Amino acid sequence: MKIIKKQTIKNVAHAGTGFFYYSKLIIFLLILTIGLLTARIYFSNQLAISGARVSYYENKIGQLKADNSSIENQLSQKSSLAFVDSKASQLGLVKLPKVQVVKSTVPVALSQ
Amino acid sequence: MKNWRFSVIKIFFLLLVLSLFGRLFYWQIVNYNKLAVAATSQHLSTIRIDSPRGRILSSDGNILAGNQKAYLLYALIPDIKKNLQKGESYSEKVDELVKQIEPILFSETLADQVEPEKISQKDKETLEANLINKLKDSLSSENLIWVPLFKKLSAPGEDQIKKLKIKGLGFEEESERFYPEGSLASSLVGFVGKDSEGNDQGYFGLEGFYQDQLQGQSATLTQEVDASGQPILSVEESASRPKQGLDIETTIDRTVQYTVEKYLQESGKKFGAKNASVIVMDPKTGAILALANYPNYDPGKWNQYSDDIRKNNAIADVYEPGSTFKGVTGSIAINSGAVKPDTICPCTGPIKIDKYQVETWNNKYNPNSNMAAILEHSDNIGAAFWAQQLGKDKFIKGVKNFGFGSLTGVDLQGEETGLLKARQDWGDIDLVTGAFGQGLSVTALQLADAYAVIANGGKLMKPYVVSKVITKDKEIKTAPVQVREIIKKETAEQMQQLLLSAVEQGEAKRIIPKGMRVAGKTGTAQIPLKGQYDPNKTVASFVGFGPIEDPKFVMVVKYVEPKPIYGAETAEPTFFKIASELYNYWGIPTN
Repeated sequence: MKIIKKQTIKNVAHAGTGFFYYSKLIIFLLILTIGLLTARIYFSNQLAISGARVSYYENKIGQLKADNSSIENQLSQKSSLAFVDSKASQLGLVKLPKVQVVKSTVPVALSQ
Repeated sequence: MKNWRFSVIKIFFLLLVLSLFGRLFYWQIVNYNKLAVAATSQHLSTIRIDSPRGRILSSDGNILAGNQKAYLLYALIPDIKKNLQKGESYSEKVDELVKQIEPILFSETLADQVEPEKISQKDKETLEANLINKLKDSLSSENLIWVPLFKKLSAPGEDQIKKLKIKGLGFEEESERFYPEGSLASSLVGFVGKDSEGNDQGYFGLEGFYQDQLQGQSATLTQEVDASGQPILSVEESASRPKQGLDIETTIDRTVQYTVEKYLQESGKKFGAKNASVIVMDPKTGAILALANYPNYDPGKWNQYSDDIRKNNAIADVYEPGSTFKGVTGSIAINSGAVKPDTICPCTGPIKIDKYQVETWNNKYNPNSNMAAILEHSDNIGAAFWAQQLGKDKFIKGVKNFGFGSLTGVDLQGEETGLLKARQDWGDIDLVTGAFGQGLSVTALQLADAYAVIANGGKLMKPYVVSKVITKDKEIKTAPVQVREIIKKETAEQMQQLLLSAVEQGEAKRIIPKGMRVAGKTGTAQIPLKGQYDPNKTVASFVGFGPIEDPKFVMVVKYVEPKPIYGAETAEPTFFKIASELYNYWGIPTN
């Protein structure tokens, strides 16, 4: 009889610890789940609405690329030799009648 | 009574269910395709990822061929009809619309013509009338929904039309080739037209040869969008892979090219030549530094020029080289040991072979001439003597070895091989005439490459134009290719001296700039017509290299049917004008 009583007391005590343990775990998991769900909704929402921002930046990049290409083309047109030649003539620049090329095997100024 | 009411309710619900099924059947089966498309277009958006054609760059990295934005102007006929004023007919609306856009489109059409400032008023009126008719015709196709009105509209043109705020007109962006240097190096660059499927296709020159590398392939990106049309990033996107068009950098030196074109266009006009070509090449590497043809064309307006003008005559026009070929014959003869520079040719008079008599160009004979004297006098009898000393087999083998009769392998579209008879067809007269460049045909590039052999000490180099192919993350460089060694170094050095004396003691020695030491040879070859040579129609040419101490360039100048007819009076002066500029540009000292 004694033995049975002892066992009963032991079991009850064990059962008490388990209940608190599991209830805390369940509450923790519940909070975690709710937290994760909220975070998921928040981030999904953020991600979904950031499409507009991405689209804006994509357009901006496209526009900058187009501007860059247009400037590059203008630059190459303005630096074309035909353009430079005609501009030089307009400015009154003339070609040197004679160019003398000197070999530089000996230094021009041997010493001071 | 109760049963009657119950039956009515039952029938009512039955009809309700049936109508529901009917509606579902209509949506799911009858209207499936239409609704599926509508649903897709509501939540999916497809965007085009453009991949423009690669650029062609000069050796200093400047753009020879690039890309620019252009627009296709189109009309949506149902939208135009929707916006008719009260009592206004569609044809009246079309008239009004054409009246609004035509001035803008006409100025674009005019700018696209060759030398628009030279177009007469009458021609302008015809052009304008054609444009108006074309626009009206397109807009009159009432059974169509979408009609193209104007292609390759410029960005300012698009802006001007947009400002008119005409409902029913739209623009589609497209890319168009852009040549900032205009007609400079047009023969080399080629142009971009369309293939049978309407895709961009390069023709001639580099655009044609490097079509696969230059061609970009656009792709599409499909993504999920929200109600406002903005992309939803959390949903996976699907995209086809775009292929980037690769840039290519050429060996073309812009300054050399510009100088060559300037003098060639001036002289071509001055001599009234049918056409003309100049090639400047680095003899040590085979790199082409400049290549130009007269007349030239603007590759941006390629469709307004004939095929004859668009053809790259420097590599595609075969002609009899005349006396310029004596340099090749002399090299083969010395290299094989058949003659030496001091070998004496009797050269007492004309040679008779079968029924033919071979004479000198001026009917003057120079007995007991050595090789230098033969080249100085451009003596046909002397060159024939060298070939006879060689014999047919050695001569033909030598000519083939120099690359004549086969492609040089240059990376340009449209190269020709020239004409060299098969061995069995060579008669005794062919050996003699072949020695001074008649009875065989070459291209200007083959001749430049052959003289590069003499200039560089005996090596046949493969000519090339592209020095680099530039991918997104690396540069693939082109290394010079030595095809084979043709003549010994000593032979090349002897020929250099002989050709130097041919210039310094030749017919046109007066025109050589003081102190410039250039080796070369003139050529005047009559043009064969209907089995006979026309004495008044010639190909006048000069080929040479300099400076003799360390050749930096080899150049061919060729005029077809110039006046005067001689190479010494046409091609040689042009050669020295260009050579003087090259000496200044590269800082080559003269003696």
